Amino acid sequence: MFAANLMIKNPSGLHARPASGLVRLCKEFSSEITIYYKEKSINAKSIVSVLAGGIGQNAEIKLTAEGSDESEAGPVVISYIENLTD
Amino acid sequence: MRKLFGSGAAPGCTDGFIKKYIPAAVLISPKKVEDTEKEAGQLTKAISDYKEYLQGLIATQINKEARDILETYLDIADDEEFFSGAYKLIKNDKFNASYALSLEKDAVVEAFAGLDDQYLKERALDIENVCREIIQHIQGVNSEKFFQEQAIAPEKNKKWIVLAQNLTPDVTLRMDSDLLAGFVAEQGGLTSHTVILARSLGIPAIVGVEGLLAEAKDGEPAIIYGDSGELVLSPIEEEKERFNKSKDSDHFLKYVYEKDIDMPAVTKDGVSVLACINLGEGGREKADKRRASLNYSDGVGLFRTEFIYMSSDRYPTEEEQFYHYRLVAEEAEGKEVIIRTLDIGGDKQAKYMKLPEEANPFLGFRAIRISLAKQDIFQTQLRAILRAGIFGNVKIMFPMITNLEELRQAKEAVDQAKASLDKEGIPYKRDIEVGIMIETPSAVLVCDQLAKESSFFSIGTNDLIQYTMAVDRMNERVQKLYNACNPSVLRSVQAICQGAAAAGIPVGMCGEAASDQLLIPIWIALGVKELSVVPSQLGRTKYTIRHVSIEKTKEVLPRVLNAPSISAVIKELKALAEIEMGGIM
Repeated sequence: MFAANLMIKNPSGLHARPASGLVRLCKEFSSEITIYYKEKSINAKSIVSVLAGGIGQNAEIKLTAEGSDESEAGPVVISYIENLTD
Repeated sequence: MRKLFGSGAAPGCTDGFIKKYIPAAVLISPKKVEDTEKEAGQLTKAISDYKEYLQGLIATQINKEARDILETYLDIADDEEFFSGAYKLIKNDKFNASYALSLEKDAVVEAFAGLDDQYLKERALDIENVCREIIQHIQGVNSEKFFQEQAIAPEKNKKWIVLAQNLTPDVTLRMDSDLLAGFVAEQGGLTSHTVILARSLGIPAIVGVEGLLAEAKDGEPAIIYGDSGELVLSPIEEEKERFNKSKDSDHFLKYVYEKDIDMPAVTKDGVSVLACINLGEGGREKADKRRASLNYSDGVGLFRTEFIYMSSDRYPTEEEQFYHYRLVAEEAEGKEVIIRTLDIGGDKQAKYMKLPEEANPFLGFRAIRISLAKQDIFQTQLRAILRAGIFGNVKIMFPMITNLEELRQAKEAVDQAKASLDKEGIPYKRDIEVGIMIETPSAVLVCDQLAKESSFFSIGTNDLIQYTMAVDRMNERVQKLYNACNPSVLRSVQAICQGAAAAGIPVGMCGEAASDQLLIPIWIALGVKELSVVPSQLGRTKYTIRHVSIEKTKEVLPRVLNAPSISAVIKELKALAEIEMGGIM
């Protein structure tokens, strides 16, 4: 399993366009990708869950990927989140 | 034949056939089902039908913003995890699909309500909309039938007159515009977005017609007069003749007005004014049309910058803004271009701005108040305008100034932007003129103070009327008061012109009243030197300027300023126009 902790740096957090982009990206992988934030575990392939997670700027999250392509999916998703500028 | 009356919202007359837009109602009641697999299958089919429908719509949208909204909807419809809750409710509790989905929707909406974030609250609304559409698919009800029928001509070369309780801009945009002759609504204000849309599409519209949907029948022939607000249902022969005459005179007038479009804006008795245009779109699109109207005008009296912010999904950069400002400055070829800084509020904002929802947005955090509070955004815009200044005759204008302190703060921000450009060695227009909009009673009362520290004034009549008359222009019960012919509005313009004259600065006008044929002579007689109008009104405005006499107008001016009512003012102005322009109005 791939796991990493990171902080959301972009101003709008995982709302709006960044959220849509994240979900579309995660759907390209077969692994289960989960975001842990506060007490919630959020399915990163579900736009409704990601939005309802209310993950704003400076949120500290843990991201995991589990499945056949986890070693590829994890870093790609992390790099997407880290390069957000919105 | 029956006649109904409302408020004329978008001008012109047209005939066509009635088509009512009545959104489908959805009934959701809990039922227990036997065959849960069949029920789940219905949900699956409804979701996939809806997705297909969205994809079809996306493929035909040219407008990027519209496409983005639809793609968000598609993302929600694609959310397997979200729908898995509904499938569980069908399987375990044997609920019918519509009810299961509505329970799931309620739970999510409740979760969003607890998040306390305006942006996310709006997303909850999107989720609700998606669920409602899918439930409509399950139940086999939708508004598609309306759009399909509307896309077929009622008769050869005939169009539809669409009737509704209330039309939203998106419904209006989804209609086939080639077959939309005009529309009539029971509700709606004169300056609602849909009415503004109608004006820009050039189709007549009427709002505020009581009992409309009960009285009119689908498919019956009708005539609408968008100027007077008259709707004629199943007209008799005499009415058709009246319509044909009116239509001919419409065409005749257009011809007469357009003839004057390249003539100078000088009154019969030799008073010269500037006839400028308001622009609200930039970029390469529509550039030809923009250049053509710029060519006939004396410049851009109002360049709205909101479109740059509204069409972006983040604050536009200095370079992006500079591109638009420089383009219009160059296109104007030395004529003035007055660029107004961001004029936006909580009621009209881009999502990324995250302005708080307000109980009274028109009395709230808007326009210059936002710019002064968010200096980084203000600086970006000011730097872009200053830099564009070297490519033409660019001026800066601040919206919603209410006192001298705000003006001084805004001017300080300009100095700061200049200093930062100096520091970086970037060229800009050093002697740029800085003026303000006068659109609040407060600014009118202290206009003598403001005039001493401004290069020019521009009267924004739309807001000035609203704030002076304390009337919400969207509220159909009070919108009769929303009229530039109120003596108090006319006296405000008089006071502004006097205050400006004492300081020796020019006054322009850029609201809708600037193109009001009856009022144009009054504005000029009071001392307004520049009328800035939407490009489509430029010919008519110039024609009117060229046919009035300011000397004669000054004779009636005391009577107009002392009139007891709007109607008394209109009566005086009509009598004046009759003498000056005869029947050509």
